[in-house]
Amino acid sequence: MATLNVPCFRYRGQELTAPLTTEDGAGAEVFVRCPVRGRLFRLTPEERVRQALIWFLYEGSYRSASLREHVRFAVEERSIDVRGFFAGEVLDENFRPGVTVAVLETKRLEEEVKNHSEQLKKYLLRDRCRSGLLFNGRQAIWMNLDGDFTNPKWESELLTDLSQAEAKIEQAGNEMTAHMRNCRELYMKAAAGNFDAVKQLVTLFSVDLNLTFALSVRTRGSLGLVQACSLSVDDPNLITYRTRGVVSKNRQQLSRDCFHSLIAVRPAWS
Amino acid sequence: MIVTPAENTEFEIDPYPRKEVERIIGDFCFTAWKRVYPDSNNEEQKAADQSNFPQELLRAVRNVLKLSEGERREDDAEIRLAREFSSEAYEQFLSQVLSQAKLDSRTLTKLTCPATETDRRAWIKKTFDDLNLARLDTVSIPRRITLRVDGTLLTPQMAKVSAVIDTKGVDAVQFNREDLDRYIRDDREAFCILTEGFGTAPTNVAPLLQRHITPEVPMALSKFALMVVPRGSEPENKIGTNGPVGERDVGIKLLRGQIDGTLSSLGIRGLNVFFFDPLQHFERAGVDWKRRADSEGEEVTSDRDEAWKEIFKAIELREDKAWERVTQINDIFQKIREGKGPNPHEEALVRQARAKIAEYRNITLANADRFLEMYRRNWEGPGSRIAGWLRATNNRFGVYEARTINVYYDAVPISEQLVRTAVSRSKEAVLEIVRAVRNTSPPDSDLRELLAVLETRIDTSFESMVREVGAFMQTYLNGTALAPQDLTNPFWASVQNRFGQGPGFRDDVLNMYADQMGGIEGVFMDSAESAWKRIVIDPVLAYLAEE
Repeated sequence: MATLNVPCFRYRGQELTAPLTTEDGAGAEVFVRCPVRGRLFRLTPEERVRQALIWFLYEGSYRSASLREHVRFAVEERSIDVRGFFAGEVLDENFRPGVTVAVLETKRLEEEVKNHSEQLKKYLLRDRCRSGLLFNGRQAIWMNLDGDFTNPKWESELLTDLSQAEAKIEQAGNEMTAHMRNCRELYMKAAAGNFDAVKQLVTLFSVDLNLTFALSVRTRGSLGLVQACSLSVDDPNLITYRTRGVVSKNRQQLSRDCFHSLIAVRPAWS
Repeated sequence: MIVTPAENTEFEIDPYPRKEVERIIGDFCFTAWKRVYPDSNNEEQKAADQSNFPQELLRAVRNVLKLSEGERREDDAEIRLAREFSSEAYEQFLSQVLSQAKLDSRTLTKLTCPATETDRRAWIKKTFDDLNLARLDTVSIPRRITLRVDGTLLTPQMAKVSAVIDTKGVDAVQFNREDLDRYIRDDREAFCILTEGFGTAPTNVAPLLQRHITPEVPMALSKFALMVVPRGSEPENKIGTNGPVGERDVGIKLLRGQIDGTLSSLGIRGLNVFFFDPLQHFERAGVDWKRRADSEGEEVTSDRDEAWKEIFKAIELREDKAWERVTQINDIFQKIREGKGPNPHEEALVRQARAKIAEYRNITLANADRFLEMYRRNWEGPGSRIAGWLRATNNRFGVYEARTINVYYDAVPISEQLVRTAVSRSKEAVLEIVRAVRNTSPPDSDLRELLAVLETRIDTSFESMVREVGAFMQTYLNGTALAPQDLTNPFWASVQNRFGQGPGFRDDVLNMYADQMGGIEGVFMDSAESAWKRIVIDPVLAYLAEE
């Protein structure tokens, strides 16, 4: 085992290096242990930068504990280098919409980050996420998606210090926590049988067609469980949906009268 | 592939756009990755396993990436390479493979045969193989190759042809294609030679012929010829009433009869069918072919000439039919010009006909509710496209060129079929009224000629109406229902995000399509009803009013 000091931009006005613990593999290959994935990875130029950023988020930042209070970092999921999922305390087994707080895209040291902003935009739009970072160890750009996802207004800011990125991720996490706290309250009301609260949740999460709402519904005098997806509020007393895994020509309908309670809100088939 | 006679010999390559090449390589890597690190979700694993590209494209991708195929799948170079990465290092693997492609240096799009080349045929053959299989480090993966050939290298028959275009293969699943329709319907100069193997003919080409050869397009039949390709001793082995027939000519004659019978039962009578095996006199020599020792060069030339003869015969027949039709129409107009015009009795007949026809002004598209069901059938059920293609199509916002899939164009054949079925009765009823008036008018009446013209017009305008509705529905999907084609559209974000999120991928995605197309049946009905009035009925009523 050895320690490799990798340049990691600037932090609080000082040059920062990430001390990555490496292990030698067969031949000249060098491996690095990823703290998120818990395994050894070949130390390619891309991995070097990615691991430096992960080190910063996990150890190097003075605010790392606070960051991780709201955000769970995942690596290499759906082509995204590092993704921060909302992980605040308002979530539990039954209420856990998969919401991305920030997308962090890393590039090898010699790549100009400004050349990759379209890629970051694509990931932000695909994940319906508003905040993202492009980082190569010597340059950092923060991108914000303002306005509606269907008509995005992009703002980008060249960062001079990682403390700015730290603050922006934390801010995004705090904003998301506030939003999700409201959603949680709606969920509690819906779980108690409030149809209007379900409607609000459907409207708030309608953009995520991959979300499943587990609903308790009244059918012919008894209660049944429905795994609903692609929900939509069609009129004040009606929600239409599709049943996950069931092929049907028409959408199913849930009227105010037939609604009993909301059991859970979870990603697709978790 | 397009071959055109020219003064010089050169290749021109229309490559896939850079982004598409990267996507193709990404799909290739994804398949290899899932092979090494399978998914616990069976459906997605299956989708990843399924070959996304045609074999030819797959070979080209391998050559670009310098990743050779092994004797067993497990020995394929990309599989061995993927094994060198741990299960969570897909991006590392993809990045390495992409760097091997050296896409920045693949910019060449034209190759000219050097003036010093002594064997230009050999140069064409080698260069074509190199281009088709992307073996040149300076050329990207070709989407289309144009070969301009010095006329002296071509058979004399090619002097009468402006270009030979070899389209991507047609099969029973993928016969509704925009690229083919362009040649069949829009290119008046094009003559379409469909080819099919001896063992299956005419199964694969029948759906395509059925779609295009309709009573309303009398010239459509002569637009096609079917070239059946017997391989080896397939004709001799053709099973007759007493087992294999044993003789080539007998086997061919037997199949010809069966093809005629099958096509007749589908309403296609009189199609030009001929048999030609381009490899009959050749045998394998490594990866190439050489003439068999027992075959003479004259035999090869003679068989080729025979095939050309059949092709030119079919083209001449088409020209004759076109001439015959023009002459008929001219005769009718001549008679009308020389006539005296309708008398009061004939005018009364026309007025009655007009009133009856007006009753058919409104149609009901009773089968419009089948649109979505048929649309889904492209992707589910026997013989449908596979789930891997659905993923690739979604990632390309609905147009997957390598598999000639276009989710917008899919609306065209479905709309046409439904409109044709639903409205043809009304059209026939209108034609019956016109025919009845024609038959009751005196033998020397001008009305007979005028109504003959009208009959033809009704058929032509009916066909225009059918096609316009199809085109409208394509535009509707492209410009409204599934627009915009980028990730600002929640629909595209959702269908792209759905892969990798558990079982039910195909069903969920098709439901998302159905929801996104909500209300399409109404749009379809409105467009058909308005097109019927505007293109068919109102002009008929106006024609009768004027006369």
